[in-house]
Amino acid sequence: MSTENSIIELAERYVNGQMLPDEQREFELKVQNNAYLAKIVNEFVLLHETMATYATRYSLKNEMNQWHNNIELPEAKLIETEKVTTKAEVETKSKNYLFSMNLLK
Amino acid sequence: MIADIVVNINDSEIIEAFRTDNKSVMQRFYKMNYPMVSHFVIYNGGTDQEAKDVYQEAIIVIYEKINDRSLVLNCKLKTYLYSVCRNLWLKQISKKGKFAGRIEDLEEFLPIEEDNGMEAEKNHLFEIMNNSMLQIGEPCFTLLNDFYIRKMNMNDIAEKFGYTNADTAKTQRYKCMNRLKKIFFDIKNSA
Repeated sequence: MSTENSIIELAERYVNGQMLPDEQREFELKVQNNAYLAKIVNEFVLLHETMATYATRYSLKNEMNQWHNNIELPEAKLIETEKVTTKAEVETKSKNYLFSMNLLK
Repeated sequence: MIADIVVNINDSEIIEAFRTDNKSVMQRFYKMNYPMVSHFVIYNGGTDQEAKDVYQEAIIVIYEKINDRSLVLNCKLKTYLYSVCRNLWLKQISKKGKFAGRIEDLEEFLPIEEDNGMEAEKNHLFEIMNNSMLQIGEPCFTLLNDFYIRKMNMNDIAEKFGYTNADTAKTQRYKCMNRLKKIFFDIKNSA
């Protein structure tokens, strides 16, 4: 495995809390005493955190798209196609929709 | 029946569901509140697609705030959701120069504080990651998506990509991470 891959593997195990206590202390000491290693590890930590945000957002977005496909919004579509112009019209159609979905009592 | 599905989930239950990834309750919350936002956006000059985009962005904001424990709720969650959507829609139409100076509200809302620096930085880094992933090419794009988003294990990834074993797949993943790191920091440092 190349040096960069080895560093990434170590950094990944470090941020995931997968190192044994002795190994973790040794790794932290190396990082403290080696500016190049510190730079690579810091970059990896930022990359790892951003990847976590990216993964969370995309996973949730995928879920939401599936949920969205199951939403039937006849009233919303009607509102869009009819180009309603008054607030009262929107409210009426909105209430009709909610009643139709049993979301209003 | 839908009536059975939507009864009585309170805000604490919804927040707990967002914390524990209870997809069933999250889905109910999603479906229950979309009409409110759809009507607001469409009434204020948007399309159903724009309503969907704003709504999903707001759900992500709430999901992240709940999970990093930064959500301060001084109203009903539904009001908070509407307020976030309203804010996002205002920003969007202002950016496009379409804001006519008045928004028609269909619900009560609270003024939402502007993003703090940390949120803005998080969104900025997310955009860089998004662009980096778009540039990375195959097989890295699919491999990283499979691992980080679809949560596939290395054995399944090895089988899917035809690698000898999980270790070979892991080495390939590290290569992809190195490639991603280079693209990511090239974009970040050039901005």
